[in-house]
Amino acid sequence: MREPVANFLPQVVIAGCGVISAVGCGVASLQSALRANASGLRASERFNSPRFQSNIVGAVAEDFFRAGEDDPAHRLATEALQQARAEAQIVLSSIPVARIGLVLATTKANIEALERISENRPCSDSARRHLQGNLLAADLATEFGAGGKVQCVSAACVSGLSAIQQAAKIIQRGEADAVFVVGVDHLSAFVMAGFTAFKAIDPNGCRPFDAARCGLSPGEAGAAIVLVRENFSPSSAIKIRGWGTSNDANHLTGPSRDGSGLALAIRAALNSAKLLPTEINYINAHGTGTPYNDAMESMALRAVFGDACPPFSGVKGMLGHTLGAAGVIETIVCVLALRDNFLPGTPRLNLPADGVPESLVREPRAVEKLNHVLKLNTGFGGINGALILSHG
Amino acid sequence: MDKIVITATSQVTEADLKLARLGTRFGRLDLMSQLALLAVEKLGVNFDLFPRERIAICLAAKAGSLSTDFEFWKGRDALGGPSPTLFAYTLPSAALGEIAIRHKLTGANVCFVGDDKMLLPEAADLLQRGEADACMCVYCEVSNADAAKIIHSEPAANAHAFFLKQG
Repeated sequence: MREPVANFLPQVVIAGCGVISAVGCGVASLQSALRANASGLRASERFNSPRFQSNIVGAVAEDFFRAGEDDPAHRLATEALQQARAEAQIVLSSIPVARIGLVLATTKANIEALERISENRPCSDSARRHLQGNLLAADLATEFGAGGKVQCVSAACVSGLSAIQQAAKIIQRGEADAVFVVGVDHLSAFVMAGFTAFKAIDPNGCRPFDAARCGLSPGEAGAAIVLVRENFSPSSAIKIRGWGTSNDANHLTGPSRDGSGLALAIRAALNSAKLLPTEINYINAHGTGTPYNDAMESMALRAVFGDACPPFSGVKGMLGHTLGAAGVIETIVCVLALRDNFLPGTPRLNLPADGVPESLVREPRAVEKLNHVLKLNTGFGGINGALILSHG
Repeated sequence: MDKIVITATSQVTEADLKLARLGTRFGRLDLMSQLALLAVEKLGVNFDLFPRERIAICLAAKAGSLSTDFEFWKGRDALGGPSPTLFAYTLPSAALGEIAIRHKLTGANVCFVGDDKMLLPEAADLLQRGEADACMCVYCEVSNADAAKIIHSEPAANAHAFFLKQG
C-alpha cells in the first residue's frame, strides 16, 4: 500500500458550527441535550397516518417553518449556515470570497417540492429548483458569499462525512482557504413512506444498540461546519485528522453481516491519520437502531479494536436519523465532546444487546482528556465512512 | 507526482440496454443503475489486476435520482404502499452500490449530484493521495418526462464511464 500523503498536506481545522435539529436551534441546544442525554423524538401529528409505520420522529420545532413552507431544505440549511458563519466570522473576514467554497450533503434535497408537484399543490420556482441538490448548493453558495468551488455530495447516510472529506480535500489542494459544509434533509411523507415500505421504523422510537431495538426513527436537521486552512485559525482549533471510505460490495440496502466493509473504512482512516487503534479515545457510532446495522457495527468495532474498544455511543435516539445531515451533525457532537472533554451517552438505551462491546457509553460523563475521536456512518449502496477529529 | 492514465472509456444509451446480457438481477435495477453497470461492463476492465479494496468508484448523476423519485412516489397510493425496491433506488449512490456489488469493488467511494466535470480531478486526487490504485468513474444522465420538466431539459438516458490508474 502506498504511503498516504494526507499528513504532508495543509491541516484543515473547524472554525464554526451551526445546527437546527429535534433538540433545538443552535449548538448550545445540542450541547444541553447531550449533557442531559435527552431525546428529541416525539409523536408528530403530521405523520399520524396508517400509511406510516410510526409517527415518532426527530422533527424540528413546528414554529421553525413558515406556514405553507415549500422549501424546508433551504430553510434548514440557511439556519445552520448562518450560525456557523457567525461563529467563524472573524476568520472568514480575512478570506476573499473567491477562496471560499461550499459542499452540500443531502440525500433528498427539497423533496417537499416533488410531493407538491405530484399533488398539484402550490410550489414556488425556487422550491422546485431545490429538488436538485447541486442547484440548492449553488444557491446557498451565492447567498453565503462562497464564490469558490461548490459541490453536492449524495452518498446516502454517509453524505455528511463524505462532504467533510471533500471540503478538506478542496482546502488541501489549494482550491480554497475555507469551505462551508452543510448537511440537510427534512422530514417528508416520501421518506416516511419509503422506510415504512422497508419496515425499518421502530414504532416506539429508535433504541440504538438496545437488545429490543427494531428500527430507526426518521429525523430532520440542518447542520453546518466551516472548515479553514490551519493558518487562518487558532492553534487550539479541532483538526480534521484523517478519513476513509469503503464499500461492502455485498447488498444494496442491508449492511454486511461481518462488518468487514466498515472495518476497512476505519483502518483507512487510521492509516491516513497515522494513528493506532489504541490512540482513539471515543467513537461516535452510526447506530441507527436497526437490528442488522448495530450488530454489523459492533462486529466492525471488534474487528479493528479487539477487546479494547474505546468508549463509544450513538445519538440517533436523540436526533433521529437525519440522513444527509447525520454525518455533519454527529461530527458536531464529536467537536463538542473534544472541546469539553466529555463522552456523549446513548439516549433511549435500556439494555445493551448481546455482542455490543462493553465500552458502550450509556450516560454522558466527563473525562480527563480526549485527543482523537472517530466518527462512523454507513449507508444504502453499501457505503461506509470514517472520520477522525483531533485536538490542535 | 506519479503519472495517471485513463485506460478505457465507454458510452451507452438506453438503446444499448436491449442487447445487454448481465444476468437476471439486471432487469430489476432502475434505469440509472442499468446504464451505469452497462457502461462499466463495456470498458472491459480486468479488475483482477488490482486488489479490490484498492479500486475506488467515483460517480456523478446529473439530476440525482429524480426520475426514480417520481416513479417511486407515483406508487404512494398503491395497495400495500410504494415499492420498497424502488425506494432503494431513490438515491444516486444506489448505482454506485450496484457497480460495487457486481464487481466486488470495496475501495473508496464518492458520489456527486451534478455534471461530470468533477469526476476526473476527484478521481485523480484519490490516486495521488494513495487512497486508491485505480478508480472507476461513471457519469449518468437520466431524466424521464417528469424529471426533464424540473431540470428544464429534454428527457435523457445515457451514461459514460472511464477507468483511471497509476501509470
